[in-house]
Amino acid sequence: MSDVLGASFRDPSGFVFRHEERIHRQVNQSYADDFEVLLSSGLYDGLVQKGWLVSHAEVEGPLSNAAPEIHYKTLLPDCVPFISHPYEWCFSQLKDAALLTLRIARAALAAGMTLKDASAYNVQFAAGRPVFIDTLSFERYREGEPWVAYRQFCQHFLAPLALMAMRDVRLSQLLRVHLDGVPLDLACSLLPARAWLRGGLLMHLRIHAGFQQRHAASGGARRARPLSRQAFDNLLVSLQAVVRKLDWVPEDSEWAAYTEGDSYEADALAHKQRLVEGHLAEVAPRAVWDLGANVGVYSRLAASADADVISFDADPACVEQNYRLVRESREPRILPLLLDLTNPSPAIGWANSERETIASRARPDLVLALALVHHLAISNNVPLREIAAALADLADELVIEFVPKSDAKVETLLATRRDVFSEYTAEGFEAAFVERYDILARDSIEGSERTLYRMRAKVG
Amino acid sequence: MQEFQLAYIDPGSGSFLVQALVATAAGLAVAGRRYWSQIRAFFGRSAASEDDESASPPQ
Repeated sequence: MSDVLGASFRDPSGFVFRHEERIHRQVNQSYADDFEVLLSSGLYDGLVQKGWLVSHAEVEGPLSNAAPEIHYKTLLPDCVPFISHPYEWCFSQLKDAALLTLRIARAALAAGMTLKDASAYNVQFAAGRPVFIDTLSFERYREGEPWVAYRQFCQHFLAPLALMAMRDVRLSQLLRVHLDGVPLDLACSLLPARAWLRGGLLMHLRIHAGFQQRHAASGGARRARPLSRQAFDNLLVSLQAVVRKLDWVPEDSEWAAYTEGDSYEADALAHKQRLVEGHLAEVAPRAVWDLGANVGVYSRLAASADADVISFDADPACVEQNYRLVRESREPRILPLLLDLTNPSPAIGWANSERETIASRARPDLVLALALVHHLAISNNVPLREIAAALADLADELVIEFVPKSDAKVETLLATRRDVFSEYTAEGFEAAFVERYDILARDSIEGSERTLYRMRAKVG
Repeated sequence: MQEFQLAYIDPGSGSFLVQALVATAAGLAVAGRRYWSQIRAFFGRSAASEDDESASPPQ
């Protein structure tokens, strides 16, 4: 049986595997020299000290049964609580990951090393900030050599960021189709003409794409004009400048402008928050998933109750605002991610096992589903029984809000369509959920027609 | 022309060849920005912040 994780087969320097529930990394003998330079140059210590690179401990022996004969060292990296993928990030998360990659590339160059890959999957978010997780991405710099990972950086970071900033933020979803980043010719055909007024985008995307097309089969990667070390650094500085200049400010989208003020009276809102706080105190979850989190008001209640929270929303503007809050107020416990619950992240890549589905990556102790069920049941026509089953598979504990048809928000959803939702009543909701859950608490939210439930999934 | 070692990912021939050109243009842009900020500083405006947390440029 192989314990090797599906995401780490490309780089022959080593691989990632699971041993006794912890993620480990085997360093292969072929990478030994580079690995020793990473340590002896002081680069590793410097990057870890700044919080840019995940730290690791060296542990004994080849713990994986996959390739013990080429084992050099085994590393136990510091734990990253949740693995997220670039198509689940908002604009600023992808931008911060890009800038981190470039800062590391420059620091590496100054220490006589270079990044041999620049995949967005090498960055994760932990404690509210991006961190580089691939310790085996560094190799010794050879004088004159261009940047091997230049194409990958442009495809994984620059192209999607430019598309999100200058065309449409939803184009981040191209990363879900293109696992090795957005092809540059595709990016060029989608970007507006005004993109080419920026010298950086013109060079790194358009001229770059033109060269790719012209030299597609020329073998030029073997023979090229040498690039001085200063020129290499200039290339990185130029990428930093062009990435920094890209920005996306959310406009008032459908729900981002929606603070609960307009659907809730102030005292109803206060009552709902008190009820949620009570449930959080009672369950004392360590890990919470807040589904349909909006900008994360209830995620913050969970975080202040000492939980690590993933704050999911389908609206890029909500996730963007939430992430900016996390970054500005340094909230290490909250990870905002973009997720459409009606079409959650699937398993993709080679053999469908390179990138896991969202549900198979972790199991929270508690799910918050506040002001959510009407979106699933009515906007997306999911039967209540199906919603109960899907939520019960995610976590044992559930805090869920039922929003009846008489509520203004639901009236809006139903205004332009036939009401085919005869089961969508408080009774129908409970009947559907008791098939999978025991209802532990049921509270009417004062000053509204909504009901808040706490439920626990039935065993078996 | 220099012969390089091969990497485990395909750097792309065009992506390799374009770097000499891009880095030259980038070098001019970097120098241009530096002079511009010096000119601004001379006239009393605050220099554009480099906002650079990375290590100093290589020797």
